[in-house]
Amino acid sequence: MNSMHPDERQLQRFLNNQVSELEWKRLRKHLNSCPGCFAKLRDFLKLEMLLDDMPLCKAPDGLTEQIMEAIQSGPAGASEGAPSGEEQRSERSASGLSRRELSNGLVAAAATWLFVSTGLLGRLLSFDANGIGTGIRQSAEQLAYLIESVSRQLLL
Amino acid sequence: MEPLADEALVERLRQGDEEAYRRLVERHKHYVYTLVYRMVEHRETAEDITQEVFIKLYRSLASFRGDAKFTTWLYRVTVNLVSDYRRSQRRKPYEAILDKVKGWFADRSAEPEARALRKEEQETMQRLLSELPDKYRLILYLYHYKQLSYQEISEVTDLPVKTVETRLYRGKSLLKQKWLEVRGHEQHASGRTSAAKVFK
Repeated sequence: MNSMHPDERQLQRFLNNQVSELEWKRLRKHLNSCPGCFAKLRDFLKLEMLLDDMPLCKAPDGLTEQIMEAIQSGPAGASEGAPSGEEQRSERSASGLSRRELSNGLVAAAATWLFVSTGLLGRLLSFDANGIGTGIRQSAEQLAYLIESVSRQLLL
Repeated sequence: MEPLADEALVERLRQGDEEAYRRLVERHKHYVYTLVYRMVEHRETAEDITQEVFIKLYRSLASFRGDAKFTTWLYRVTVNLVSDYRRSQRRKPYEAILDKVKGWFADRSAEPEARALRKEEQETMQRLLSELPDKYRLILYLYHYKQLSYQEISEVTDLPVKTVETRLYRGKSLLKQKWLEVRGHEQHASGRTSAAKVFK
């Protein structure tokens, strides 16, 4: 009778001894009389045995020493977890971001310094229209040169 | 003399005995390394992640209250770090493939004797296992390498017990299907070879 054939899940549960006693008896009786289900069970048993016999890999020599050295050289008694590879990668990208922020800040500082040192700020305050026109043009040229120089240095 | 239980070693470590941690590392490093290696399939990466597991574990000792087994805690850290790595590799498929290929070459040159001694069936099984989706593979390794119960696997992976059982069942069904296909092909091929020899 087809309805009596256990499905694969039941066979696995049978092998792993995860069925009730009543179910176990029923399955055992069926398996004794059904070559097809018995063959399926045999395949699962083979699989179980191979999985149980999977050999452990030997950890590389010196791994314990590397771990102990890393622990001793790290922050003592730190309660936070060590950064994972992902976190380390994030830290690296975060430091890249700081570098960009630093370069932007330097360029802004240079522009401010130029703005003040060329007297442009003073002229703006005294509102000399002719002087401002000339000053802006000269300052813009100097500023462009300065930004280009600073950027080149930072990108090297 | 009975070896000290993991939890007793953790207690000794808390009292300042650094050697206790060395014993914990020695006791569990092969299993952790194997689990990681089977999941990432690259020896150097497995070594790095194993190291990271034990360092992270050491540094989070303060949060270990002893209400769970030490190994549950250890395997949870391992599973999390492996998952982090697998996620990062999914974002970089080319590097992952390159790493895998490098790993294969390294394996072949590193352990020729050990590899030669491996049974053919185990090699086939490992290959088939490596082709399974991560979610089944991890549960299969946790279940069979250390005979963890469904409940323990559930605690390690943060999955419901029912999901653990289902994944184990589906993983094995898939594996059995692949196994029968491969063995069927091999038997068919060897049958043809034998027949060819007979008719020569």
